[in-house]
Amino acid sequence: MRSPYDTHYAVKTKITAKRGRIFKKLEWKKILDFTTVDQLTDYLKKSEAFQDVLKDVKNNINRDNLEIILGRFKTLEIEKLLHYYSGAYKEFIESFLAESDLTDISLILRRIARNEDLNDISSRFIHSERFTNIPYDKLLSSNNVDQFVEGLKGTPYYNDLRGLTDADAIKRDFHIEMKLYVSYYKSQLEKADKLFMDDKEAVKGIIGTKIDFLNVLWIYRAKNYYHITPAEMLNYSLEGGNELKFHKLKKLCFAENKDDFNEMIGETFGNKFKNDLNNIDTSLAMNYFMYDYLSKNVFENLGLVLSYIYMLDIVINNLTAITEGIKYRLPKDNLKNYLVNII
Amino acid sequence: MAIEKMASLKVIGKLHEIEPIIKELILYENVSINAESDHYGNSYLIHEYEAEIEESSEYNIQDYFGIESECKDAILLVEDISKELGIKLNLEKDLIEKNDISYEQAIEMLNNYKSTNKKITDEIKNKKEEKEKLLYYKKVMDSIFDNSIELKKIADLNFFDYEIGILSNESRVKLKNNYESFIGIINRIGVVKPTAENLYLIIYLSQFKEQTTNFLKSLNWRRFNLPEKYTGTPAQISEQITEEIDVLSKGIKELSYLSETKNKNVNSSMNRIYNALKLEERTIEIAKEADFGDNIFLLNVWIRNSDINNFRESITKAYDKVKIIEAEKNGSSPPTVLKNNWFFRPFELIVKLYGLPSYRELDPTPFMALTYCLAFGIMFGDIGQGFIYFMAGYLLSKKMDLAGQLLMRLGATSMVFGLVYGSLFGLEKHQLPWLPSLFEGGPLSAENIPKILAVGIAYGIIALSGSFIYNIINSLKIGDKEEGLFGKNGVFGYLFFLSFIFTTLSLVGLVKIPLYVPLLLLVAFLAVIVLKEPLANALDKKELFPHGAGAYFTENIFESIETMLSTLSNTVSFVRVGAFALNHAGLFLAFMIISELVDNIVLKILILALGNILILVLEGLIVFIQGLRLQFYEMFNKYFVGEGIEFKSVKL
Repeated sequence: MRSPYDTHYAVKTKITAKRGRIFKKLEWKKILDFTTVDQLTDYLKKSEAFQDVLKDVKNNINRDNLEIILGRFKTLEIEKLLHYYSGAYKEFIESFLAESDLTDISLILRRIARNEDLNDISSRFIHSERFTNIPYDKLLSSNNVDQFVEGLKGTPYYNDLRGLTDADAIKRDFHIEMKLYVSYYKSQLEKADKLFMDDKEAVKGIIGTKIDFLNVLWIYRAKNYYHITPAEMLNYSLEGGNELKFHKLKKLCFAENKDDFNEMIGETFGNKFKNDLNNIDTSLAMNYFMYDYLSKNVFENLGLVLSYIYMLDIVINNLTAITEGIKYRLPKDNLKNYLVNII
Repeated sequence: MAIEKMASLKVIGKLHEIEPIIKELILYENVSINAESDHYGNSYLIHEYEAEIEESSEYNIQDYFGIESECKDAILLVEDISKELGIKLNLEKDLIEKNDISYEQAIEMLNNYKSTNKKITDEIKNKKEEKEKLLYYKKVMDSIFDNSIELKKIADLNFFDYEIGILSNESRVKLKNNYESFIGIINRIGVVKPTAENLYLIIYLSQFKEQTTNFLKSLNWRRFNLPEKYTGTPAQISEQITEEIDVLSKGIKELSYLSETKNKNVNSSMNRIYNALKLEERTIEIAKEADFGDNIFLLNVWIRNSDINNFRESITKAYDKVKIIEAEKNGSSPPTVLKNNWFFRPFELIVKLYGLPSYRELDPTPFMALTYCLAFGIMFGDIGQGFIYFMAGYLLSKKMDLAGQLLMRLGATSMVFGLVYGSLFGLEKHQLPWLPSLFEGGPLSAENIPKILAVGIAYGIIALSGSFIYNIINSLKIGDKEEGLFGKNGVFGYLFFLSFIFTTLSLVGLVKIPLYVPLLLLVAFLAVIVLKEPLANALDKKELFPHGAGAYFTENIFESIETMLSTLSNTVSFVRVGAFALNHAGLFLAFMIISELVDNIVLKILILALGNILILVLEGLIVFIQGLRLQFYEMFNKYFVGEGIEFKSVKL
């Protein structure tokens, strides 16, 4: 294994350049003036950061397609980072590629459960073909949910989805999402344990923060939209958060009313987040907070790489929001409210 | 000691005889298909012979792609069946020679086998699956702690429902953390081996059914459904299941026996089918390379020159209408077959590591073998250690013929040079006065060290001279005057090299000629090398600088600097031959000194033995690699391209 200290400086230079290309060189003000998605695509095609992934894309793309392309962009960026690492470090960074597998697995599963056509589905995949451990061919040849789950045998997700019925896949899609994420974060944290102390602490800190927000989001949505019991909410929650350890999490799930819930959120994450959570889109609230957290902390270790990967998510969300804004002809000033601190 | 001469043949025959003729080619085992044939020329020939070879035009060209896929599927099936029945499949030339069964018969036999055995194999498969299921039920029943509870009684409760299921240890922790929010009774009733998962019995009020099910789902609950026919306590149920398993096992055994007796001859018939299918597969592969007329086919093949008559005879004996025409081989690249005598043959292994000589190139094997043996002998000269290599080679040759033979030759040269140095297992004349040797004092004596290093250089000069000569011949053979005459590895390159040697010798005073003579020659020859392209063009009466003089001189002046440097480094590189000879003696000397520090004779012998083992294993390997390096890097680089195509004879 190459010394992580040698690698750090190489990666730092690379990431500084990449961040510059993505965050600084993209002229967000100009982007906000676009009135068609084609204008945006053309602009991105010419940008240094996105030209690789967009070079074969024809015009006339919609929000959906752009989301897929940006998903692939993230996969590609992570693959590029892998060149710098070996051993436990490579395994750890590789674990981030699994998130795109989860997106694709859920996509196939939803279509199978609803008896929809699978023909064009592979054109929507965003996972890394080189690094995936998922037998996609097998999954695509399944006729029903049972066969699909059996197809997952040998992957870390088999146990999570065992016993899943067609009805579950349609009505309780949060079940699939949350169960898959439990495995994803569990395996990621296990891999982080094999890193050197400095890197381990940094990455566990960042992942822990992300887990906290995902849990808050989950409980918030569960309480407002899914109407499931607090015990179920707790069972579906992710482990490994920084602030919300088991007892706090349990209290949050069992909060009797909205006020109690909000009070707890305010106490733990501050009033800004509490207000954002209730006033704007929940994922947006999380991205606001993550952006603040990642910008305030300067990492001189593997945290730098993680921070870059999470920042990619934020940029991708911004671009998707802009596409949506263009589609619904949202005024520029309104649209700005859906974007995270880039202007 | 060369590259075998090849002939390009065109086999032209009746269309309906294509398969048997190809079979003859396969059985002949010394024919290679020429895939890059001249289709335009072939169609002319086909036209010419169409009338000569009479044939009813009813026979159509087969759909080879269709047959190929059918054949491949059938082979897979035969392999699967044989694997299941434990039959070892072999390719048997005898079966093919005596025309055992045709492809069509093979397919029919296979289909018959499938239809008669399908029912039995399906039944066996079903029973096996059923048995698996029962074994799982039994495993769960046996895992229950209290094997006297009666599950049926719980099922009879009026206001309560129950579920039995399995939870992982992780989910068990989650369940424990949520006990208070669950309305019902949770009972851990067993641990299922070998996964150590937990078996739970959950009893709840019927009105909370949906809530309970959802709660359990969030824990990845795997419901255990025991068929209703099983009643009683877990112990009793386990017994019932065991009985059923026994019945099933017996059934499976009987069915397997039935299938075995029914297929008593299956072993030999599978082999017959397999051989027929393999022959067909090969035949189609070859037929796809043929060109076709209305009634005839044409196939291009390569064959050894010495084989032509024999081949012609064996084909035309069976098929009198077949025409075998010798074609021009200009412009094509014939495959290479190396032909070396018993001494050089093992060294082909090393040559092939670098690449196969092309058909029009000189086979470097003999020169390589001689120079390699010489270098190895100089670097690793010892009678005893050489003998051990020789014996090891002899033993190895039983398993890996050529590699073993190679080691035997290296061992033998090591022994010869052992006699030159007077060294037996590292011991020299002053320890063993009766040892024969060509010079006094051993390699490490002060007066011998410079001599041995000089021998290394002398060896280098000889080896490089050989390489130059090889390159000159190779280049002139293909008409490359620029490289062969004026190139840095051509005639003038060699003259430059010799001038360099004489300049050095004159400098150190070993040759009594004025220094300016070789020095002037050196410059003159270098100038010729720089001007290689215009000189070659002048000989061919072409334009002197087709790409412009400026660019040419810039490039070639740099190249001439590289030539000067590489000549120096190439030659010096051979000092290693002498240096490793010294190293060989030096390494042993180190062990000798250690052994002199102890008094115990057994310990002394042990230390010397250890030294010898280390030298044999480690130093032997290093010398082997250094020898290879000299060949591949300093010598092959000069004269050997190694882009030959292997002669692959069609075989079953």
